[in-house]
Amino acid sequence: MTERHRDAAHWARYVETLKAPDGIVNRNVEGRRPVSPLQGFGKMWQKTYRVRLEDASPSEVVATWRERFPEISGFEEGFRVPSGGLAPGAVALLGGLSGVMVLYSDETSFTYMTPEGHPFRVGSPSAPTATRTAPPWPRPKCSYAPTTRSTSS
Amino acid sequence: MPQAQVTMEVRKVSDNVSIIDVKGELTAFAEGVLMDAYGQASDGRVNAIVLNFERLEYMNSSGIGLLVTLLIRVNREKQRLLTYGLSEHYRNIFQITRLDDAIGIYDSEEAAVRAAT
Repeated sequence: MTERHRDAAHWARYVETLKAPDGIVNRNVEGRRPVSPLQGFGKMWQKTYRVRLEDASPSEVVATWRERFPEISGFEEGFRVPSGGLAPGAVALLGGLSGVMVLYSDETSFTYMTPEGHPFRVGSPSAPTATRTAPPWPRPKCSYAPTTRSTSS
Repeated sequence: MPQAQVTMEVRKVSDNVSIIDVKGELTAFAEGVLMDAYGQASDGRVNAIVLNFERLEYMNSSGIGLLVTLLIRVNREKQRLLTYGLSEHYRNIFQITRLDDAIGIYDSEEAAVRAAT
């Protein structure tokens, strides 16, 4: 890998359709195509939440978030992490409802991609269709400033 | 606070087409630079924006997110977004993210400008 493509290992590989992990049958995932962010309907919302943490590095925060994502996201056991973990290209299941593919994952961020028919593509406020933690800090002091904006109609 | 490791220069190649030369890293920190460049590029009667990625050094998923935001703005202005100079690696990323459905990808500036006009 050249320096130019030092991100290559962080991206999922191209797949035409998703495959449910670990031999699980899930009709809302199996054979479904991942779709681009522009192929949903309704408004696409970008939400940015900033919180200052004094005693944790970005990689520590994201490692914890990744490890405890089912609990932190509120999906609990409904979010089924595949046996290989949330590695690029892995498909995690949301109960029998749908799933997400890990599009990108590095030390300080990860991003999901949703398949066609994913119910959260309509922009449910609690739905992490694309969860990304890209910490722009050096270690900050404590503040919390959520912002929400519509980027599409 | 980390700074954007990117510069963008705008060239207007015709009344209708502007090129943004991207040099450096396309990450979350590039948002201001990219949107400023788009503001300059979009001046007047421009109906096509061409992104030159020949000198793109690095792009992560936040960079892809920025391109999505830009694409939405471009679509809203009834403009088109095209690119050239993408390495094979980043062409693959455009394919993985399905952005190649919405952003025209060309091999050269000449081909992109021809397609834009």
